[in-house]
This record gives sequence, C-alpha cells and structure tokens, in this order.
Amino acid sequence: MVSITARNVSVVFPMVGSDSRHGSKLKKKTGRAATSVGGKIILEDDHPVGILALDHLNLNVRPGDRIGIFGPNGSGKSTLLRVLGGIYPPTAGEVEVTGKVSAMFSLNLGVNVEATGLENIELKGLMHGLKRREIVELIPEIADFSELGDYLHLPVKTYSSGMRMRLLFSIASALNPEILLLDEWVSTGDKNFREKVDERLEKMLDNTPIVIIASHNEKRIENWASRRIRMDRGKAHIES
Amino acid sequence: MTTTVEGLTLRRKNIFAEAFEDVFRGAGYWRLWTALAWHAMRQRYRRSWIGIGWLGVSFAVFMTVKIFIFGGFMSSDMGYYAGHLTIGYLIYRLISNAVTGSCAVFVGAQTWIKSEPLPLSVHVYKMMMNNFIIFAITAVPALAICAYVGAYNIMALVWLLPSLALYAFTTVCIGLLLGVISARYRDIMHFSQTAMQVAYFLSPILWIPPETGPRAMAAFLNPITHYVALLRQPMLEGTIPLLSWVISLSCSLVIALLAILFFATSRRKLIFWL
Repeated sequence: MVSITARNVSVVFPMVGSDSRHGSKLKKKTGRAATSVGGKIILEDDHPVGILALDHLNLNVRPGDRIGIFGPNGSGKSTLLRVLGGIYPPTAGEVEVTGKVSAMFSLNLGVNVEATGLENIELKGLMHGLKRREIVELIPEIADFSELGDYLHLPVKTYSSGMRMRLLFSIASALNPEILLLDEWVSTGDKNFREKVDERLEKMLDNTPIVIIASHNEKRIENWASRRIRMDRGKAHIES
Repeated sequence: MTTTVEGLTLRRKNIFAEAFEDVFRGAGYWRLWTALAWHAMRQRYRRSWIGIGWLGVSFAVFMTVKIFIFGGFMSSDMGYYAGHLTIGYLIYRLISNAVTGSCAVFVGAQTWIKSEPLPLSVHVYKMMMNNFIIFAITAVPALAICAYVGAYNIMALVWLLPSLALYAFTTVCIGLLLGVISARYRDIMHFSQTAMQVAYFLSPILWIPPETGPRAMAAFLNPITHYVALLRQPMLEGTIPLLSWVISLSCSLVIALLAILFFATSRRKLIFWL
C-alpha cells in the first residue's frame, strides 16, 4: 500500500566551518532579537551550530490524502517536503516511504539549464529508472501538456521561469508517480496553465494516491486539500 | 529565540551496509551516469568547431612540443623517450583527473543531489565515465605517436583490460573518498590541484628514472610510478611489472578501505555540506 510514515523526525542543518564562525557575531549584533521566521537556531557555548528545521514530526499519510502544507518563510515547508521525498536524511527519527515518488522541489534545482528541454526529459527519465524507449514514449505527452513546442529543442536557460515550471511539472506528473510532491509551484504559472494543473491534479486522483503541495498561498490550498499541515518554526501542526 | 535540541535519538542503522548498498545501486544506474557524463562533455565543447576533438588535438600538440624540447636532454634514444613520455602522460592525466575531478564530484552535482533521491555514488560513476571518455579520446593521438616512433609491443593489449579495470576501480574509490572530504573541507579541492601539479614533476613521466640514486628512490616511493608502469612497461619493454602490480593493488585496497570508511560515516551528512 502506498503510504508515508514519519516517526519523531527531526532535521538539523549543521553549520560547518566558516558558517559557524560568521555566526559568532550573531549574538553581539542581534542580541536575542526574536524572529518569527526560520527554524530555531541551536547554540552551543553561545556559538550557533545548527538550525532545527524540522522539530519532532509525526505524520501518517494514507492513499487518497491530498495534503497542503502552508506556513511563513523558513517555517520548514520545503524541508518537510524534502524529507518525505528522501532528499534530506532525518537527523533523528524515521521516515518510511512506500511508493514511487516524483517531486518538483524548486525551479532552480534538478534541471540542467545548458541542456535542452528534451535532454532534460531524458535525464529525468533515466533518474527514475526508465529505459530510453520508455522515455521516448513519454515525450509526446510532456510536449503536449507543457505546450512548449519548439522550445523543447532549446536549452532550458532560454526559458522563462514560468516555462521552466511548465516543463518540470509536466515531467513530474508524466512519470506516473504514486506520490507527488510539489513545492511553490503556483507562483509562476499563468492562469491558463494553472487551470490545466488543477485539472490534471483532479484526474490524477486514481493513479496518484498521495499528493502533497507546499505553498505560501493558504487560500489556494484550502479548496483543494483534504488535510492541511500548518508549519511554524519547524513544528508541524496537523489540521485534518 | 534560540534553543538547544534535547531528546533527539540518533538513528543507529548499519551505516556500512547503507554505504555498500549505495555503491551497488549506483552502479545499476549506468544508463544515467553515462548520459550525464556525455552531457558534461558535450557542454564543455559546445559551440566549438572541433568540439570534443579538442582533447585529442591539444594532447597531440602538447606531446609533440614536449618530445621535441625534452627529448634533446635525454641520453636514451628518441623513440623510447617519446613512448615513455606519451604513455606516461596519458596515464598520469587519468590519475590526475581522478584526483582533481573527485573533489568536485558531489559539490558539482548539487542540483541533482538536492532534487532527486538517487544513490550518491551515481555522481562518482559519472566522474569515472567522464575521465574514461577523455582517456579514450587522448589515447588516439598517444597511440599514433607510439606507432610512429615504433615504441610498442602487441602483448600490452593483454594487460590493457586488467589495468583499465584497476584504474576504474581506483577512480571510483578516490571519488568516494575525496568527494566527501572536499565537500566538507573546501581547501582540499585547491590543495589537490597543487598536489597533482607537483606530482607531475615528481613522477617519472618527463624523466626516465636512473638505476640508483635519490631520483630512483623518489620514483620507487611514488605510487603514481607503479600505476603508470602497469601499462607502460608491457607497452615499451614487453615485460610485466609484477612488483608494480603488487604495490598498485595494495594502494588501491587501502584507498578502497578509506573510501568506504569516509563515505559511510559522512553519507547522511553530505547534503548539508553542499
């Protein structure tokens, strides 16, 4: 069964080398100035040694769940998504993910900007363990959905951010994932494409049992999500 | 507000089993790392006329000039020296690319590491593939020079495969080892470049080691000498460097053990160092 289980998961971003030295000014400069953004800063002997990006998360995701993660900047939305996607190994606790995961974490990651759209489709396909023949079969669908046309033959660096989003979303959803993780995807799409995305997400219900989306835009998630997670400085408040 | 984390129970899974699994699963992605290696090569030579052929051209030009200049200083005959230098430099380049390339293995693959949950070793295999593409292309002018000066033995072909296998294995081990170390300590990257430049002059590539004396000792103590000898000696002299095989295999074994130790202990932390 497709599922995600997180037990007591914490993620600490360590500060290494000069990052930590820079941080020694932190106390003098800012004092104990309270801030509501970012994870908690972990101090050891008044030196910052890490950031607690995810604080004891417990989560059970079952098939059919449509989860929206929202919260202010630096509250841990992306970190949470990446832990569930197997990118960040938890510093403590355990994550079990059963199912084929496809993800779109950021427009700036997971894309070779010097390579063409088609070459990127090929690389992504290979990363998901597909053979060349299987990738070739996916191309018409990705081309059709992304509406990028001739741009697929041009390097991705010639794309606008919206076009890049079209490419990445089209690939991520074409890979037939059982679990789809999307981060901040709404911000760049035009109205037309956003409607297409909504439509596809509706349709994917049968084949993709779990969809998790992180966004600042609480309103947008509200209409769509069956469960909501509010992040606050690394703490997840699950509002079902 | 600042805080100290308490009550974090660290996972105690077998990190060595996880590291080996990573290395074996990574090898299975050969389609991916071959494609990534070719992409990197094509990108480097994009929009140039000769493209990837530049590797061969620059090797040929560089060798010709070196043989012309340094060949004059050598007492041995020109044909032997040309073969010695060309094959030596060809293999030195493979080793040097392994060391300097290893430092960028994970740092240079950030975009993929932060977006796709692949085995980390994939990026090491990609570097290995990259280096062997360069090796194959530069081997063409190298062999042409050897054929021209008559410095070759057909029996070297027998030793080609085992030598390349050892080079490939060692490259992967160096990649795992230096890859994680230089992700954490960025000075290693710059240090290794300097070290390999020094190693070039310290290794018997430009010069032919004498029978005795300090330079003979310097050559013997340098592992690069022995890795180079694996292919160069059968090629030039038609004999098998048994001692060099023993020393090279031992060196590779030590590197492999260090590699698995460092890779296993830093694998889970690596992404936070990028």
